[in-house]
Amino acid sequence: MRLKGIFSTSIAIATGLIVLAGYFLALPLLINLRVVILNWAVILAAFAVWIGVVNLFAVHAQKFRQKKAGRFYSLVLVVSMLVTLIIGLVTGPQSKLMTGVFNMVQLPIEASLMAVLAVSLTYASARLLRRVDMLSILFLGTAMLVLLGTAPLPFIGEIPLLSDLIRPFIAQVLAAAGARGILIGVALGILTTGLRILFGVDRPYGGK
Amino acid sequence: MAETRCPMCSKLNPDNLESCQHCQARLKPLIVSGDEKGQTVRPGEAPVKKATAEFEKVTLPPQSPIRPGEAPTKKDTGELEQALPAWLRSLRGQEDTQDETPAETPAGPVEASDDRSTGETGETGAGLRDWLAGMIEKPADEVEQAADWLSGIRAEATEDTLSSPEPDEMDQSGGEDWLARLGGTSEITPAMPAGADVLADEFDSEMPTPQQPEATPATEPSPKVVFPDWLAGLQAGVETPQETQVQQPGEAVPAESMPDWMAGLQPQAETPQEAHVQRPDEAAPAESMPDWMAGLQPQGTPEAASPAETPAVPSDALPDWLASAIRETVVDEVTVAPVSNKTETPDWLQDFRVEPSSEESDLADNNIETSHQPVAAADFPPKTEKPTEPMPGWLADIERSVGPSESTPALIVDHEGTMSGSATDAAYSMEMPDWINKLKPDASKTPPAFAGQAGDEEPEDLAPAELPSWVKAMRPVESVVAEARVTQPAEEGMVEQQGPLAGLSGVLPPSPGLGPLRKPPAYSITLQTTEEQQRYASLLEQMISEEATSQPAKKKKRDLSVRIIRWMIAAVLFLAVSVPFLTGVQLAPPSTLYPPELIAAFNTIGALPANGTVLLAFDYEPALSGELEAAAAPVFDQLLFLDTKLTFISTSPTGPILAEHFMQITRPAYGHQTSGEYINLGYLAGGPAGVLYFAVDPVSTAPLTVGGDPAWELPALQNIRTVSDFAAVIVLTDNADTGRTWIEQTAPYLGETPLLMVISAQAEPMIRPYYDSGQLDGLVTGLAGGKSYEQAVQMPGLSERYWNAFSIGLFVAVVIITLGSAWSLVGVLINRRKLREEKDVL
Repeated sequence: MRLKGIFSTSIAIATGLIVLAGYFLALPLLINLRVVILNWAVILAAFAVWIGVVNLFAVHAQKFRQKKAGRFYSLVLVVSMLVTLIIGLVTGPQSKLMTGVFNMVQLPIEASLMAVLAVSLTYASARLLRRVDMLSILFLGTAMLVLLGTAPLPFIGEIPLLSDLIRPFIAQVLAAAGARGILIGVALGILTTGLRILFGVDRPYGGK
Repeated sequence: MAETRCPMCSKLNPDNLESCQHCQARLKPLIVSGDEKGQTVRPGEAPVKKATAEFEKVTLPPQSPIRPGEAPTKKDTGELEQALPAWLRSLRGQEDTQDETPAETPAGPVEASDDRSTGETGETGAGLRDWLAGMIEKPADEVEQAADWLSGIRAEATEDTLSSPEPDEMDQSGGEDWLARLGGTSEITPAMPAGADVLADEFDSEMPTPQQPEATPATEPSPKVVFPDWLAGLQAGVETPQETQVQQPGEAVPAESMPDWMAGLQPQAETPQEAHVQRPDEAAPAESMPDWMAGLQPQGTPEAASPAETPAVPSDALPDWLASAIRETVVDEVTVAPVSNKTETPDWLQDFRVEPSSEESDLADNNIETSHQPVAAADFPPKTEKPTEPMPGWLADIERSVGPSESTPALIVDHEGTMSGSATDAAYSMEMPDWINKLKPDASKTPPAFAGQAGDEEPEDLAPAELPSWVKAMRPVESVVAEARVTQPAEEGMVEQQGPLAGLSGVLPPSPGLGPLRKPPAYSITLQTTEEQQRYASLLEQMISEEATSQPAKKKKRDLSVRIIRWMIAAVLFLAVSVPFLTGVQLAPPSTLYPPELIAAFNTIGALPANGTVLLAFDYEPALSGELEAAAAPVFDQLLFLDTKLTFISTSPTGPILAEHFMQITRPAYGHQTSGEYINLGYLAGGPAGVLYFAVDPVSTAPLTVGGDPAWELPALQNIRTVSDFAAVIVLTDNADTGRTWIEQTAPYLGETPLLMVISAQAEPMIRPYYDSGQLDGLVTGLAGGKSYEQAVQMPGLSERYWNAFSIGLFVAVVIITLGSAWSLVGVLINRRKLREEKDVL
């Protein structure tokens, strides 16, 4: 193993052990070390966001210079980024201009996409039974029950047993059971990953 | 009628058949090995009667006479047919009747018996004397040729005998002594056939130098003196000029009087030892000769007096043992005769063919016993033998002195090529002595024969096995091929073109594996198919060819109905949502459902201390801001109603501005707080690490507000140093992972601070377990939860505005899905019916 690898691995393991020990030992030294390390992590993460923004700008700018396909959209992105950056730097993030740009551009766009998603899901559900099989029927039936039980229907109101029993049972028992299983799996995966990093088996910082 | 058991199928066949009438296997082998007949009966041993059919066993010929390091001499024995001695040619006619004679005859005794055969023939009658007279009249060159032929056969035996002399026997003298020496020399004299003795010395001079020259004197003395009177006249005829020249040291035999191969040997022939043998001055002393031979000495040329010439003694003068020894001539001649071509025998020699009488056969049998003495001595200790008949002294000496002979058997007799079945019967029909019956080959001593004759060695006492057909089918190919080869007639045998067996046919069968054993059967590779099968094959081929050819890509036809349906669905949903929202018509009844988590959240917030600082995390995306704002609005109303101080933070880059957007929406509606009454800490980088860092040290993590002011110096945050100092922590998120991060990272540092969440409906299944486990103190889910919370706090807000649109939209969506599903089911049923009808039509 090269010296570089040893050095980086030692730092990673030491950092992990210090932060982990801070959970179990209320020693001032460990707490202070953990705070410092976490501060470094936050700074590095913020700098990573900045690096990501710069990289995005560079990629699309290069794409526009090289006149690749979709360069027009790249140009729009680059221009919008520069304008927003300039507005934010000049007027501040809480200025009306900056808030107006967000409220009139980004927020409606994303909300519209979600609305289109609602239409698409409705259309897909309507055509779901074109392929008749057990899973399709089960999926569609579950969706219908949850929709009908989520809110009272116009002119009908809440459907007895569906809103107060079936829908809560589906959302809070069946779905929660599946979600718990997923969460337990995720927790075990995180634990394993943390241990592998602490033992130096996985070295994402070192290229492996 | 005698019957012969087939060696292959073990069935009985008439003896006159050459091939089995059941399995077509050859009943009479092509070659008779000398090894089988090498089973000798020593003197005094009672012979055992055995079946003469055993002599038909075919084995490999004995070892090659060519010694190591000696190049084989190319010989064409067919050319030597004319050089056969007269007596030998005359006896060749007797081959058919004397096949019982062992083929493997030691060289020494052969010569001795040959010498004495002359005496025997003189003894048996005038006819024999006649052929001897013919030999006398034989030209000298013919005799020389005969010697060439014979010397080529027994060269090996001669050298062996010369290398093992018996000095003690040479000292013997007297009338009986010379006979004793004669008998004694029968093992050490060169194996020369009868009649060839005249030229024996010539070939002795051409033989390789013996290792022990002492053996030579033992062969010299007696021939000079044992010429009987009747042979005196032969002396002049025998002593040809060639012989005289050859016997002179340093002189070679004229090239024209010998074959080519012999001429090549001439320069290296005469070694001092051989010259010593041939010098007359080294002949046996006169006192060793009998008186009747002494008179012959001046007449005979010493060089011509070879030991082989001595046996021509009148029968009256021969002792009984010598007479029996002379019988060996017949046997030896038989062993030599097959070398020559029978068909080339001159007519004049046909008259000399004499059928042996029973007496002669007996004598020959005795000679056979004598001739096989060395082999017997090699196989059994001589001391254990107890002769039952009186034996002369010289013969006893032979028995004592003879060791295991390493001489090569003189010849291999190919009976099949010269004998028919009837002739064999005639030859074996005579009464055989018991000792001949002992010649039955012993399986344990018989060397292994070659593969083609393996079946001949099966003992007769074994019951013939009837192989089932499947076992026969499993026989190895070699056995079948060998069987087929054995059934071939002897005339089809290969004629040797070179080597010592040149001119002989059928001596060596072709070894298996040298060539193709048999032609493999030819199988037709044409596929036999019917017309129907061919039709199916053509159809299949057509189908495959159609699949292989690329079909032009069909231009996807835009389904207009699908597009219309899409737009219709979008339009219906838009109308269903927008009309109630715009008109304000209340079509949906208020929600009467109050989930426990909502009630817990309501109670928790209601229990917060007044003027407390509440941390609100805006961690949702702008796309879901409508749902979360509507759900969180009643919660904010309650918080503001309690006069709490709000602090915003977000782990999403858009979170701070979403917080500002939320406050812009809710502030006019409630009017409880102004922009200066809440603190926006901005974006918290680092994900889980940032949340942890904030939970541990919020002051260091977010020291400034979004506007750049020191956050922790503001009145709302002056008393806040840790996360547990907040009155409550409320997380607004649409992402389950984000909510899980906040729960996991801040829970150890919250202490008594409640943790609440306002989440999107899509995140409920993943976040709800944390509420059930007690890690969350309250949960408000989606627009329905916000509506219920509004009803709980009795403050209509965004949820109330969205509720009708939300309810009608859900209802319309359910109707669309139901109609679409029904339409899809109908289409599926129609398609299935069509397919069923198409199948029925097909």
